[in-house]
Amino acid sequence: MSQGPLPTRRPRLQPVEDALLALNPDALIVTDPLTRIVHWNAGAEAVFGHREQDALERPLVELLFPGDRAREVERALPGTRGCAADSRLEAVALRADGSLIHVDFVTRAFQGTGPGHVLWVGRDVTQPRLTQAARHLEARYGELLESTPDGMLLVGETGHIVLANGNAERMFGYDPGELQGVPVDALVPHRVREVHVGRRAGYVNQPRVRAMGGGAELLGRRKSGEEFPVEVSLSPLRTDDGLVVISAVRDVSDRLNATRRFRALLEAAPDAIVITDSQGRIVLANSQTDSLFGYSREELIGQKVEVLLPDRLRGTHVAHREGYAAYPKFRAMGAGLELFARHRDGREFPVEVSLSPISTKEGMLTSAAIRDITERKAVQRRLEEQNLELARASEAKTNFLAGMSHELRTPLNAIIGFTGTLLMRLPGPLTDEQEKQLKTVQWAGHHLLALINDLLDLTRIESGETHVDLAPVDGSEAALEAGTQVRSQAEEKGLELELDLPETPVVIRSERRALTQVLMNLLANAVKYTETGRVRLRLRRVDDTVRFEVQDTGIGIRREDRQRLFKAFSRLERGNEKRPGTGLGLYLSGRLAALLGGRIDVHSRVGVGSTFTLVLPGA
Amino acid sequence: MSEMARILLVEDNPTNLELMRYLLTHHGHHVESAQNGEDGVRLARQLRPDIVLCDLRMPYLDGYGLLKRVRADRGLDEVVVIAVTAYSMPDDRKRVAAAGFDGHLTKPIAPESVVGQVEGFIAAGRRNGSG
Repeated sequence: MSQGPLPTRRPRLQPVEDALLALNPDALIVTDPLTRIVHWNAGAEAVFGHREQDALERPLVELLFPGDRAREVERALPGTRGCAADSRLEAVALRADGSLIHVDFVTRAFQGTGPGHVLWVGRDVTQPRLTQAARHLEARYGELLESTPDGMLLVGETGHIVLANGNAERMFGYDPGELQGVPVDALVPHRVREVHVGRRAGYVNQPRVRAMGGGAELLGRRKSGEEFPVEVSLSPLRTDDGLVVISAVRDVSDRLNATRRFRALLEAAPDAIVITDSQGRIVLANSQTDSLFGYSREELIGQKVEVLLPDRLRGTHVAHREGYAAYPKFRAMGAGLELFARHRDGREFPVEVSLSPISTKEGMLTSAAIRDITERKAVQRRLEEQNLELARASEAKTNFLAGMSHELRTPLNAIIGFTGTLLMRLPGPLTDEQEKQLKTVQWAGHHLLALINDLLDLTRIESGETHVDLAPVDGSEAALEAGTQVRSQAEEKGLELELDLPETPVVIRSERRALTQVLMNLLANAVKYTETGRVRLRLRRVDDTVRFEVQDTGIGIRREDRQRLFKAFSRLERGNEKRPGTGLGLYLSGRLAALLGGRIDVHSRVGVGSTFTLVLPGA
Repeated sequence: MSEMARILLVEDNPTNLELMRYLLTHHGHHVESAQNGEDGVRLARQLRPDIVLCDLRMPYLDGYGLLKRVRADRGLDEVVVIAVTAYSMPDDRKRVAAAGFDGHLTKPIAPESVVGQVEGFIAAGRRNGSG
């Protein structure tokens, strides 16, 4: 207040009149011809919240009707041009605390008490207006409001809720009807209330439709004080009761939670994840992307995804990307998609990428998980080098073994050869004892030879050097050949060797030499462990397999020994007789059978005999 | 076969050579020998034997080299060349088959049957004529 009160301008009133003015619950205000407030009673203070000393000398319109409302009120101002008639004015006024109220003014101009003084008698009619408006709106829109899935709040010009539907009441935790007349600010958190009041005033001054989710992230406040994320859409509705703002409120806790979970998921992923839209623009990236590529997320969002590629690959990538967009499908990592990526500093590094399409309301997005495989490539290279080294070592070993084998055979040639000439009595006659001892030497020589041969075979199989070239083979012929090889051994022991072969050829895809070797091993074993009776090789087709069954009437194999049968050097102690053999025969046969795509099954009964069956694919 | 044959043994190991010579001469064949491929080729040209039994691994000139030289010599067209091999290297078998020997004997030899095998090779003659 720049100046003190001006008693000369104030009408001189009787004490009774003073009391009347002071006790009147209505706002009694007097303005001068410049509509400055010269009188302000206690009622005015109660209605508008301004104290007398704050109100005096202020232009009334500026104080109570700031902004755009002023003009409307000024138009309705009474009697400044000599009209002495009373007039009524109903308007929305601003209180000192920022809230809005409906005020019903009766005005009268007094020419006599000075030029252009006006008496304003005002009354807060907010509640009756709201009730009235609520009645009207409910009658008109009630059913419609109840049938919408959102919470609906109809808010009057004063910011009070005129009408709320059941969804809104439940959402905010109020009883039916309880929201009516409540300032809508009660539904926002306290800390943002002032901002909201300002925004609301702004909106009421310039009402327009605003879609949900179009604004900032909003929070609602339940009656319990709990806050929750909401989306609000506003639309103005002009009614006989004034401007009403229709607010549709949606609780988006679930959606935000989902979004938050999605982001958490992105962040938890070990790979850099970049989500692009249909034009290849990056719409989302996790923090792993930042560290992998050296960009901050803000820099990446909105960029074409090609920014992450070396220049030379960008052109082709656009084509790839468009091709993918045309036929989007999940593509796993390592599915033939190895790329080079480019760090912000220009450094290139190898990556593996998996793609998956995400269908959204905003269109088809593509999620790309990008993994730096620099380390893996290095490991791979090291492994390849090591493999090469191993291959060289293996070759050296093979050569060494071949050389050893040759060196071992040379003296064996002499041992077996000259024992043979002696036993053939080429140099002269032998005593029984000489013959017996020479035969022992001969047996030992053969045994040693077998060992060397088996070891060499084994080495080749173990080092992967034995390749079988599968070709059509007549199983009967292989069986006959193997049978011929062991016939003399069988006859020497007085065993019957029976070949039970079908009339027609049994053609399978196999390798003749390997097949014959396995059959020979099985037959030789059968002969070796059978003292009386027969050894029988039966060939037949069973379902889609071909089975070579080598059956003997030998000593049989105990159940507990069977697992050991196919292990290297695991000769079973069967009886006390010394039997020739290296302990490698069945092991080699098993490996060869596997190379041929088959296996060897064993059935045996101690004292009755054994059946070793080579099962091969029949095609 | 009782007819005497002229046989050239090419073998660097004296014991193996001795064994083979003993067996073959015992059966009445005429045996000459060389201890490496070079000498073997020279003797073959000189003697024109019925058959050459030749070790594969030898110094100076190995069995394959000997075969090549003998085959290149039109004067030795009728000579049967047999490899005596221990099949010690993984691809020996294929190599022997591909090289063009007229046959092969496996070491260690079987003293009971080796002479019969050699006589069989002589009787069969060159496997593919002079081609």
